[in-house]
Amino acid sequence: MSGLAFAVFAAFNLSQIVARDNRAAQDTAEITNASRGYERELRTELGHVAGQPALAVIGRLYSLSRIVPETGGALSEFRAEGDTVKWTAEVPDWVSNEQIDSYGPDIQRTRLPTTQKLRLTAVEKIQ
Amino acid sequence: MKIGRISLTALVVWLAALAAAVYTSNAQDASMDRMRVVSAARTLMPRPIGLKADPAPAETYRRIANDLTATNPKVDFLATPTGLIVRASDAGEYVAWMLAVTTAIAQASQYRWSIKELCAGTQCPSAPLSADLVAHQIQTEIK
Repeated sequence: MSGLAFAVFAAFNLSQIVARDNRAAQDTAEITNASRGYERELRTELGHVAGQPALAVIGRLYSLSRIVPETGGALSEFRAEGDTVKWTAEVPDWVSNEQIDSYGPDIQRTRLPTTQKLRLTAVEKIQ
Repeated sequence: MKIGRISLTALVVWLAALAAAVYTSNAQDASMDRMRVVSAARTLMPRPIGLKADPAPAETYRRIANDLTATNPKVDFLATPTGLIVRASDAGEYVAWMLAVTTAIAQASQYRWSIKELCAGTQCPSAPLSADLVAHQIQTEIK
């Protein structure tokens, strides 16, 4: 009889151990998730603060002021606020779409018939 | 005969109980070890670090403006409490102005420089070439 009671007690202990093991597994998963989430967040934040945004804007101004005159055009205005850049240029109307597209993304074209030129305007986000 | 069968049953039950006790004891030791490891892992978890941007002191802008004014006579440097304005009133001084902006940033490269406002072109409001720069020091903080 006492042996049976002892066996029941051992079985109860075993169930407690299994429950504790499950808790440990849950804790491990929680720690892993928290660490990975923290790492992701830190990587994102570091990505935002890395580099010199002002130099990126100046670099864009420099590159535009070089490539636009290559097609006989001129950069007439370049404005930046934070990381947003807006620029305007005028190029001869015979300049091809491919060449204009090489200046940057989403360039609006307006024909200026009196001067046989194209006015190009674009708004960009500098990374 | 009956007594012998009871004794045998009791012996089997006791043996099973002893086996269960040994197994339980081992399992308990292993379980305690796992709990200790998890508990240690929890204490060793890094505390989340956040990044914050502190504005550069006004003295930084003043120092850069003073240093660069002497060597760049065709470009104006204006230090404000919150930033540095680099300006050229002659559009022909484009190269000198651009060089002045990059030099100003290089003078305090430990800061993260960004553009508050920049305008290059004859229709710009204050001067044909003007850049309003701000600098921030990136600091870490425990969240």
